[in-house]
Amino acid sequence: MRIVVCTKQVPDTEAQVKVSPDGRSIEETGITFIMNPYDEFAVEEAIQIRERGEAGTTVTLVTMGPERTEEVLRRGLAMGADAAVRVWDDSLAEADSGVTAEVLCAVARRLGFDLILCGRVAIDDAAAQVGLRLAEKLGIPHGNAVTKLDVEDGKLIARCEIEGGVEVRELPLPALVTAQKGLNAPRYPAIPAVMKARRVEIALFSPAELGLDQSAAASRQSRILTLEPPPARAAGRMIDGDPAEAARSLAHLLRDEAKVI
Amino acid sequence: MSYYHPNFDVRKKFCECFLPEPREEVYAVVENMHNLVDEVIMPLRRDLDGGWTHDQAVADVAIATAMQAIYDSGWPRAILPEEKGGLGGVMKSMVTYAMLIEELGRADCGIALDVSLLYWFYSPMLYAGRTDLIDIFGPPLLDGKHHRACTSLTEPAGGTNIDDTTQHGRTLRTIARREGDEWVINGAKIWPSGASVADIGYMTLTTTDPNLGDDGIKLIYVPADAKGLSFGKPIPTMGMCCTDTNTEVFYDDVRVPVEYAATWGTDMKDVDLFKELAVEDKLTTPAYVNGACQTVLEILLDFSKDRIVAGKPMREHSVFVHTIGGLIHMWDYSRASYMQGCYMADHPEKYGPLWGKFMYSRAASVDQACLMAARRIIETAMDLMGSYGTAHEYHLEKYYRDVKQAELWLGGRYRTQMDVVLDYYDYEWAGPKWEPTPSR
Ligand SMILES: Cc1cc2nc3c(=O)[nH]c(=O)nc-3n(C[C@H](O)[C@H](O)[C@H](O)COP(=O)(O)OP(=O)(O)OC[C@H]3O[C@@H](n4cnc5c(N)ncnc54)[C@H](O)[C@@H]3O)c2cc1C
Repeated sequence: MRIVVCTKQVPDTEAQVKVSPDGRSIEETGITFIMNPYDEFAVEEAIQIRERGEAGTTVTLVTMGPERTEEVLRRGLAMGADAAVRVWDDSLAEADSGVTAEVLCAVARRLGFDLILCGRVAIDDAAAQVGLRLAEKLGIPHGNAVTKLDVEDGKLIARCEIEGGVEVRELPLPALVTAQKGLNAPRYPAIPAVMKARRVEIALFSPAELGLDQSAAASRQSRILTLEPPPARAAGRMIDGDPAEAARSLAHLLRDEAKVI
Repeated sequence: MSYYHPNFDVRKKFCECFLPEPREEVYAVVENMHNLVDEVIMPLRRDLDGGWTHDQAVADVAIATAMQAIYDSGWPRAILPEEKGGLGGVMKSMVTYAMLIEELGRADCGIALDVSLLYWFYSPMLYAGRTDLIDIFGPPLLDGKHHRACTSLTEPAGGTNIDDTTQHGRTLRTIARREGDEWVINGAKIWPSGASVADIGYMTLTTTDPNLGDDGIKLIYVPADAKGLSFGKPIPTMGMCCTDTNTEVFYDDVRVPVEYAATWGTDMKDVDLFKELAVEDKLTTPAYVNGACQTVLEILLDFSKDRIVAGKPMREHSVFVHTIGGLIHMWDYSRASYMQGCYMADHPEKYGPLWGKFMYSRAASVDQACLMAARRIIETAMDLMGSYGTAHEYHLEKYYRDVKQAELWLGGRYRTQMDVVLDYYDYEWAGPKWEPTPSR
């Protein structure tokens, strides 16, 4: 089975993100980048499928991004993936979810696949678009927000989280699955694997090499005009007075102002 | 950890110029350990100490979890040469080892010590090129399970004097007598870390005759199950109270094959390997103590952000800004100092062997700089945090106890400072003359 896993590099969850002076991107200096945590579940699942599945199963990682994003590929390689591909040229600097899905679609077709795994959502823009758009473009079925995945006789049984419940779906292969928290516990790569992963050659494709016309894509692409941090939290309010009176004012504020009770 | 500052990131805090090549590989390995420490070992910190009551049973579960994660990472096998299953490459460098150990020290000095003990145990046989000994004692490092080793040096009568190279082993009282193809060892040690729980073996500092001085010194590997080897009860201690086990070690006619002496069949001197061991220890203990200090600084930065003093956060008053700045610079220079020392150790072609006077003096100096800085950082953090610093909940008191404990071994402050001058001028002491006990 050929498994392709799409991974994205995102700012560390603990990083303090600042908008850069152009007002349209984030300040990268001083930020640590990590593999999108949901993609880690996807990589882990792919490796587990290979470990328990048919011989000859391969796991190939794909990312779209500048050179720094090779770090996530190397992490995935250290976890146990077999190969990695990066797609980039400067025309992709402002790619939106639609263009990203087009690029990944071209890579997946180039590599060949039976199963594609993505994270449910990337924690930077939280759009939750790319995986599903990719399935759509490839014309294959998908399971979204999957917390359990079994491969049986050429099909998948996927336990998908839906609003207020769970849906178990059967998907014929080839198919795409987006990984949700709880699917597995991603492994810590062992040191020998980390060392080996540094030596793996990562294939690099430009959109043109994948047969994509970026000028056409640009005309269909949405653009970020401004980025704004969320409004600063208002300072807490101290309620003075004796306890009974203070409790009364608190109840009033919670009910009539904050409208939480 | 609720506090986060990018300046504590691996790539920023470890200066690239000291790293072995390929540097990206070193960073990747250390970042991997950094994450493992944050996610697996940090949450266990309280349990590693057995909680406030130092319950060893609680601690043992946490120690097993933490150590298993470290063994699963494949690190300990890096000690061995590549042809014996080791990892080679950047993992052969003392700089890489120190960086990894610093990451462990952020969470727990005792866990860092557990790994260090393996390095100390094997280093004499590695320096002596004793592949035969590696074949005998090396296999436990390859099975992926938690094992412990012990370096048995300190003796009940004047522990520090044993480490004092200017006394040339004349105060040693653990005697190795040659009988045919065996060494017969008699004597006693006290305080070795891992004593009674080590299952790999006991690397024991002995002498054939104290009056022979350096020429009498023998480092002998004693298997953990050797007949005549016995132990006292664990001595309850202030720091690393559950992660480290210190006991007396008794040698009563312990017999081992002659080739278990570290330099057997080589033209190396045991005294040199003993000095090498001390240098390695003095260059890398600072690493985990420095890691502990990073966490202490994180605790302090976090606390002083929210603690209001005279109407504004503590860390915004100039007096505290000044003090915190001082602590950060001590933390910074102590890292630079041990990184430089480890870099020198990695380059004997430039700086001479680890047992040479230059490295011996350099290592003592690094050890002093870092441990002194660590003590000041932790003590001052506690001063600034007041009673909160002493509260179990803030973890600070644990680092305070652990770091003090680490400062005491291998001679402690007063004696180590004397080693610093060794490369600048000679001084010698005459150790007392030894009279063998006739009954032995
Ligand atoms: C946590 C911990 C782990 C340890 N692990 C090990 C281990 O793995 N293996 C091992 O063999 N030992 C180990 N030790 C023992 C440690 O190395 C000794 O305790 C240390 O060397 C001090 O010896 P001592 O306790 O006998 O003190 P003493 O030798 O009595 O020293 C007491 C004081 O006198 C000073 N002093 C004594 N003699 C001199 C001198 N000649 N010149 C100048 N000053 C002097 C010392 O600096 C010190 O301040 C460990 C100790 C601790 C606390």
